[in-house]
Amino acid sequence: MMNQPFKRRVTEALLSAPSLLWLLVFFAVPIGLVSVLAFRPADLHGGVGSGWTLDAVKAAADPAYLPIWWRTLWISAVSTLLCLLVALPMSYHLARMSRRWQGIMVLLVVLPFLTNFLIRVFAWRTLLHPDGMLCRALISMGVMTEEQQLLYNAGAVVVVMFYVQLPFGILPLYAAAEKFDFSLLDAARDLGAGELRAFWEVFVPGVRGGLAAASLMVFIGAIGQYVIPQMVGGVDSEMIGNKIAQRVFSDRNLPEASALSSLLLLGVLLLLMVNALRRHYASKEVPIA
Amino acid sequence: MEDFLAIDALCKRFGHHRALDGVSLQIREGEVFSLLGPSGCGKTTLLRLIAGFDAPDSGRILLQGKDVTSLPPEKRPVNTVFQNYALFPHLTIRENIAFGPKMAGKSRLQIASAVERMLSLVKLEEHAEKRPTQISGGQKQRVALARALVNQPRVLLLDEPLAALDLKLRQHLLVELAALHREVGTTFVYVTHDQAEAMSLSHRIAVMNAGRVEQIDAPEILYRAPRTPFVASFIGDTNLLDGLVTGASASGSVVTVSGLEDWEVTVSTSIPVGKNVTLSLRPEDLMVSSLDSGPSGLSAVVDEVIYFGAFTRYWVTCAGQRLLVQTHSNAALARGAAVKLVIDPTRLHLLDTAST
Repeated sequence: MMNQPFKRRVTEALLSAPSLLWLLVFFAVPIGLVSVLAFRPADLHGGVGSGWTLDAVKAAADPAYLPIWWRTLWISAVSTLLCLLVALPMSYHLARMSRRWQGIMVLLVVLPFLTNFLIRVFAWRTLLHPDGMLCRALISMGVMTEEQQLLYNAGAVVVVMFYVQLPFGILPLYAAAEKFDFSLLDAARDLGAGELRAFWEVFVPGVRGGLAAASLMVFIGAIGQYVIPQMVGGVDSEMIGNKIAQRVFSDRNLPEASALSSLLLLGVLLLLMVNALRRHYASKEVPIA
Repeated sequence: MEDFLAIDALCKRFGHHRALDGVSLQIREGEVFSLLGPSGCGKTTLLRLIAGFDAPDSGRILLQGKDVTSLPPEKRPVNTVFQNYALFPHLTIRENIAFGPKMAGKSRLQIASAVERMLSLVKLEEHAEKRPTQISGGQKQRVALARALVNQPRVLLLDEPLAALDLKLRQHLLVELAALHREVGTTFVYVTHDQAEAMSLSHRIAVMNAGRVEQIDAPEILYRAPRTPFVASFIGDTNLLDGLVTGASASGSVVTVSGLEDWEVTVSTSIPVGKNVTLSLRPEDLMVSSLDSGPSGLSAVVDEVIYFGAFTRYWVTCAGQRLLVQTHSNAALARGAAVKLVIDPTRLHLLDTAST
């Protein structure tokens, strides 16, 4: 006869099997394939040869990639910082609104998702284009000259990245701010903190969990981007995603693309592990009295 | 000193609700002043206006003669103990207490010594490095007090500081709070809905109802001489009796208490004949005894007996009027017993009917 706990565990396993299988087939297996490919040789026809080699890994570790890694990091970091700077006060104000307005505003935040990503980036291309209305307006106001460009540089990549990633910064911060006890801000004001000081000293530490989640979501989303630098960036604003895409689509060198992807994946995993450790220690800090 | 903190005709509306409807009162330096009333009477709104969290629609707040009505909370020499304590969860007890002096820009040395002084005042030295989630409710309350007192405010506002605690702890902390007040001498403005808390701690109490002040007096006066039926029934228990002025006497008026038709009392105020009045009679000013003993009285029937140990309460019906009686006597009177009800007419208190 089966005992109750065992029976329950079997039921649990059966119930979670479909989603586990889904994760396995569409997530774990492709990642495994990519990391295996990194150790295969490339053949001349753009396919993958047999046998094992470190050629692709060595090629991916080429110092020539370093400036591109560096650019990938700073573009992602700057756009993450911009997103947080806007998302923090936004989540603060969102959480203080009436329930009704909170619903409307959150809907507005996620509204861009209803439009295709490529179309949204394309809209930015039109907006920033030398013949676009923004450029024409700035030139006629004398803010910029005919020779200067808004498009095809790292600045354009940062701006569009910021726009695309902003909802991923707002949503986790809003979730944290909604649970924040706003009477703490009254207490801070009461004890002599000005409005801004109370925000930094009490609100920001109060939503630090949401802050970490928002940083990760925005940064990880940014670091793997290749469409945005491709469409609004120039030759000097390529990111590592563009290199991976080039290796796949132009050079037909799947092993080297796989090696680069695996490096990127390792970096992201490292970030996630640091966050998991942080959460682990944060939860340990508060035993019940 | 009179008029240390003056509240002048404050009004505050939330939508259509008049939270404060022209409240004026004067608080003296160094006293414990309570704002007492049922929930929704406006006492917390008034406290938030004094702290500066909300702005009044009209009226002024003067602290030592200076108009502070439009000052933000951080600019007022007033600190608050919040109902839920509002301790900063990301800071230790020490850092919580240090928050005020840190915001005031005190030096590291000054902060450290001020925090040490407060920690020893509220006897929390050994918990200084803990976080608010790691200490008990009573300890949190003491941290909240220390944090609010460290900047030596002119006025300490306390918003139902004991409401979240259980009865035993509440009584204990009430004694501690009184001792703390004697030690620091700060003016306390204490908001509560608990009349026992207010009575035991305060020098004076403002009883509030529906956004207005009903009466401001010392606890004994509020109890012995309530001005309105609301105050009479909110402060302790009372029997409210309807009466009709039926005549005039040399010293005042003659009132016939309805229900007790043949019972006439003389009150010292002179009121026009034919006017309806309300009288208050405390349960302990009534006496019941068995028919065959004691002085003469009205005949009544015992409806309910509740034994409390130190005293006994009876609900009796006398000429159709239900009355609450509280006695110390141990003479057990059973439910349904016919008894004698003795009323001391000098204890009858005439309420100000103009305000009802």
